[in-house]
Amino acid sequence: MSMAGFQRAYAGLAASPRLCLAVRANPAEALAGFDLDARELDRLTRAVWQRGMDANCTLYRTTRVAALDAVIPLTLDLLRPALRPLLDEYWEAHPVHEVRFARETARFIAWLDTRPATLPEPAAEIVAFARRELAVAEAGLSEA
Amino acid sequence: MAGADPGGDAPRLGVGIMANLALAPFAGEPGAVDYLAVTPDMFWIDRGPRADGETRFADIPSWVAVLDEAGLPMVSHHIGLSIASAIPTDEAYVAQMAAWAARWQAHWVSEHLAFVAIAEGHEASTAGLALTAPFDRDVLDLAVARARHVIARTQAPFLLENSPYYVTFDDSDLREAEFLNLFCAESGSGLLLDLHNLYCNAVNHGFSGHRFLDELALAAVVEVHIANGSELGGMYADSHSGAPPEPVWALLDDLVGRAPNLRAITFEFHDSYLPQIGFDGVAEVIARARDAWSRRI
Repeated sequence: MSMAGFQRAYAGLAASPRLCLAVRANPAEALAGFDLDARELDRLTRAVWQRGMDANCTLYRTTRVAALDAVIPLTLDLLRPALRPLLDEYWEAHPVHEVRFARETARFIAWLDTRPATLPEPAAEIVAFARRELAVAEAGLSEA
Repeated sequence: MAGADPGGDAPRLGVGIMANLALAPFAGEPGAVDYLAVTPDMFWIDRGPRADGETRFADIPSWVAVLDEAGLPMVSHHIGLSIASAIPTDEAYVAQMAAWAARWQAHWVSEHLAFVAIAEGHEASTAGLALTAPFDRDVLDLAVARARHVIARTQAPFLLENSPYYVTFDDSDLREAEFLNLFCAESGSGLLLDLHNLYCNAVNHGFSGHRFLDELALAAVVEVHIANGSELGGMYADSHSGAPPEPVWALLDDLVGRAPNLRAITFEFHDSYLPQIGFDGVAEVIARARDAWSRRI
């Protein structure tokens, strides 16, 4: 069971620079929620100081942006003034990547709809446009 | 001395390319490439493990048409098996691997040494990127068992690709080359040696790619990947950004004379870089790879 816990924790670190910083500050506390033995805890404690963990975090974010950009590129352009903090917040709320792009996008749009105050104006129209863009992408995929 | 040949009855294919929609006009020209390497996961919609077995996987017709029209030999290169995951094997995915290999008469199937699927409560979810596990004995045992299972289900040779890794676990039970050698020996699999991944790791972690080749049991190598990469936050990443850099060609030149079971050299590049390299640039890479191929043993 420990190996599964290690892999979940390692993936969690790649998904969250904030968790990496927390592990740097207090490894035992930050990783207490994962089933890790002493060797695994030590490995991850050392891993967060490696430059490669920064690369993993960047690759994770690139992967998640690419999923949204493949389905709703025009919406992302409309969100551009607030996109970076929005994505940071979204990924903190939903750290597990949904590999099915349409589902990931639908989840993102539903999340956007809960926080209109953080979106550029006109927020309601942007969310409605996002839903239409997703619908067009899904229709295109099923007919392609 | 040549070791056991993990490629079985598969033919020597020559030089091929990783298939994508942007390349269809190039790959469709007679003689442009000798085969297509196909990532089947890009050619189907996967509705996920909770979908009904009848409808979980569905073709994306415009992508599948590329394979129909090319009419070239094919090998399957998967990204969804998650061979090093410490969670139960996704049996429906393995069944789909087998069905795809049979449908397209894939000469072999391959997957990366990585985990993508992780445990989330009682279910599986995804890490969001492929991560390389430590080169430990228990990871090896897990991957060997999963590879044997895939071989039994697909009835095709199985190849494991060495992955790029950005974090290292220097207290691993085994060295990387040792891990790959044991994996091939214990599972009956071959190696898909990605020379650009090797180059990435050599650059990022300060070792010689050529010495790494010395440590590998090269009789296991059935397919080679060549590619290019780019800078990523002070590291060098496997981004498939165009024609391979000279050190990758040097590794290929070093390898072809001592990999007796080599059957294929695949050029991988991401279709978003096509405007930079163009079809002429792709053709130059294929021609240079064919020159290396002509010097194989």
